[in-house]
Order: sequence, then structure tokens, then C-alpha cells
Amino acid sequence: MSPERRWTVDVLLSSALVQARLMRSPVFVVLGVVQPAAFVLVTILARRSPAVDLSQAGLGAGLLSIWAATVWQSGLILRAETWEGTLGPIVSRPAGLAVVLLGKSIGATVRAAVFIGATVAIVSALLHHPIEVDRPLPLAAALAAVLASATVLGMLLSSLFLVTRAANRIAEALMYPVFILGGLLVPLRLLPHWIRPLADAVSLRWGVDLMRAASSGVAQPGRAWLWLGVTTAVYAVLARVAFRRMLVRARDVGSLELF
Amino acid sequence: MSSSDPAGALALAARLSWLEYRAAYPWRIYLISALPRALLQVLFFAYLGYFTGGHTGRTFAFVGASAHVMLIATVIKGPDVLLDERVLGTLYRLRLGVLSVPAVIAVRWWVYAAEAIVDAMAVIVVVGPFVVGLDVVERLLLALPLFGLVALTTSALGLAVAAVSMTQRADVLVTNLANYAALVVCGVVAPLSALGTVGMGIGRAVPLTHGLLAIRAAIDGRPWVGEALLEAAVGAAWAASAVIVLLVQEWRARAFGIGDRI
Repeated sequence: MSPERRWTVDVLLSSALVQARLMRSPVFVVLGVVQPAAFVLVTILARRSPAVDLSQAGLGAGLLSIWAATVWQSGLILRAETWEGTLGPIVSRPAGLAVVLLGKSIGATVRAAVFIGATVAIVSALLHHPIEVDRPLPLAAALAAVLASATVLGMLLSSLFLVTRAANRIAEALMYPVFILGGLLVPLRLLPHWIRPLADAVSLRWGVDLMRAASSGVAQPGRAWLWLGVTTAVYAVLARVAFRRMLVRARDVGSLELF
Repeated sequence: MSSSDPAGALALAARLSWLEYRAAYPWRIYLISALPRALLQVLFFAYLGYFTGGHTGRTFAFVGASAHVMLIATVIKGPDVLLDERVLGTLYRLRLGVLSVPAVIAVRWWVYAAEAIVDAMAVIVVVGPFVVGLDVVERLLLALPLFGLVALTTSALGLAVAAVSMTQRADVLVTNLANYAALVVCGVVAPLSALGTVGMGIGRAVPLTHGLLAIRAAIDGRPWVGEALLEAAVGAAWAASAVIVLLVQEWRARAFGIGDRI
């Protein structure tokens, strides 16, 4: 490995670690513990008939919370740098903002996943609906792919949130469309037919298909792998375009820390 | 207006609260962010109810979520009325004023109670026809005064949450915890009976629970006054608790000089 590449990896890992350590705030407790626990509890307690299959309620609630953490943690990384006054110095360092943003997005997503996973596993088990894992390796592969997709989404949102004063308000509005269209907790078959094609653009919708298949011991659909890859690639392209535009705009009109 | 005109001072505080709200939540932001969030939140819980309980579960969850959505304004946003004073370092000026802090906070809170009612109305009118049909929508609109009652009682919960958060750096945690706890224990999506004896006992001590029972009774044509009175009593108890906490904090601030220590 060349010194430059090794140095980039060091910056990447350091950024991930710094972000993971920063996530000790009460906001993280809400996203990593309170929210997933509440969704598991509400779903399981609301069941009116034993015929309703809730074996994957924990999995769905966990993915809902991964999305919420992506919006509120990864999505606000660059905005947080602005609040702390550290965005400009990072941009002007040799490593560049992109490596730092990638590292921080990875740190935020992985740490959130660990806490959310532990919370939904414990609460589901306490309510006698433990998360089943019939095929651990495919489940782990699907989880890794979902987290990669969430990381890319976080980078996209982070770049977009930097150019608006209303980032928090927009973050609020972004939560529930994906909760509904992602089919994460409520199956897509319950939605009207005309709205289902929109769900195909949500990468987590394919991720949850893969995780459910692995959890229940059936073969993972190849189509879901394909579309998870395609949607994540599209998010990555959009993130790159948004990130570059944000930097060009900042250099052009000196607006990095302004709106 | 002078210190001898407390009513005028409170009216001014209420008017300034509206201007402050408009600055924090301009119409554009309300229409593209806060309102869609409220509509979609209720739609999501209605679908969750449909998934777990079929048509009955969907109607149950829609009614519950239409009332619970008010907590976004009264429990999550409302506490900023008090907490922003701490963040901006102006709390001591409020405490040195001629009006009591609880009175000033109470009159400034009206915008969040009003937003809660507007959110609930919007949800019922926009989402309701597609989810539960016009018949239930009509009956829910007739029950709007009960939604107004819930806006007041959950404001009391929000004020208590704000008061507890004042001396901590955990307002985001406490406000969201209260919101999610209400979702679980107040019979919003899952009926109270699913919570067991202890859970039901906890739920009945939280604003929203009895109000929601009153709303459900009203739209079913059953007697609802008893539950509405219980909701008012629970709300009054939470408001009294909040006022006591605020007064104790004020006394501690003066006695020990710790007003700005957070």
C-alpha cells in the first residue's frame, strides 16, 4: 500500500472513530434505544389476532431505526461541523472533506446499527417474539449491504442538508415517507397498487426483503440484490454530484458556512 | 404598560410568542416539513394498525394517531418556550421579571397548543377520508373540542417535561422519551388492555389516555364526559407538578446562585 493510500485509510478510520465517540449524546439514546424499543413494543402489543405473523417485527423496527439514524446522525454530520466551526478547516486539509465524510458516515451507521440491533433483539425476546436467524451468513451479508447503502444515503443527505437552513425540519419530513414506502415494518402488499412502484426506488425496501428471506430460511431473491446495488449506486452518484456542487458553490461564492 | 398591568404584560408575551413561532417555523417550513410529517406519521401508524389488526386495527390506530400527533407540537416543540431561555442565557431575566415564570411560559405556550389542534384537524381532513372514510371523519370533527382538551393536557405534560429538562442537558432525550412512552402506554395503536394491569395503571396517569378514551367513546356514540373529566384532572395534576418544579428551581437559583448552572 502506498503511503498516500495508507494515510487516506488512517484518516478514514480516525474519522469513523471520532464520529462513533461523538455519538454519546441524548439524541443517540433516542435513535439507538428509545425509538426502536417503542416500535417493537407498539407492533407486538397491537396484534389483534395470532394469525398475524410478527416473527420479523424486530427486524422491521430495527431497519426503521437505521433509517432514522441515517437521517438524524449521518445526514447532519456536515451541518454539525458547521455548528462547531470545523467545516472550513477540514475542507482545507490535504485529506479533504470527502474522506472525512465517508469515515464519519461509516462510524455513525455502524455504531447506530450496534445499539439498534441490541435493543430490538432484547425487546423482541422479552416479548416472546425473538428475531429468528435461520441463515446467519446470508443475513450478515444482507445487513452489511444495508449498512453500506445507509452510509451512502447519509453522505447524500449530509451534502444536501448543508445548503439549507431548514435541515432539521427537512429531516423530520423525510422520516415517514421511507417508513411507509420502504415496507420495513408494514408489508408493501398493504399499500395501494399505484404507490408501490415508488417503493422500488428505496434501497432499504430491497434490503429488508433480503434480510427477511435470510431470517426465515428461504433463498434470497437475486432481484433484491440487484436492485439494492442499483439504488445504492444511484445514491452514490447523486451524493458525489451534490457534494461537488456544494464544494464548488462554497469556493465560488464563499458560502461554505453561510446559507 | 407597566409592572402594575400584569394582564397587558401577559398579552404582550402571548403576542410575541406568535412572532417568535413565525420566525422559527415560517409558513413555508410548516407546509413543506411540519405538516407533511404530521400527515405521514398518522398514515404510517394507520397502516401499522391495519397490519396488526385489520380494518378494526386501522380505524383504532388512525383515531389514536390523530390525537397522538398533537404531541409533536405540545411535547417535542413546546418545551423550547422554556428551554430556549436557558440556551440563550436569558432565563435569569425571566426570573427577575415581575411576572411569575410559569405564568409567562403558560401564555407563550398557546401557539403550540394551537398548532397541535391544527395538525390534528389537517390529519383528520386530509388523511381520514382515504383511511377511515367520511363517516368517521365527520364524527372525529364533531369531537374536535376533545382534541382541544388533549392539546391542553398534553401541553401540561410538555411543560412538566420542559421543567425537568431545565437543569439537565437532556431535553431532546426527555421530550422524545415522553412522546414515545405516550405512543406505547396511552392506547394509541395498541389498546390499553394489551398493556396488562401495571401498564394500564401507568397509562391512565399520562395525559392523552383518558382523552383518547373520551374521543373513541364520542365517535362511537357512547358516554364520554367521565373520561374527559379524568383527562382534565390528569392534565391539571401534571400542570401543578410542572409549576411546583419551576418554583423550586427558581427558589434554588436565588438561594444558591445556580440559576445559570446547567
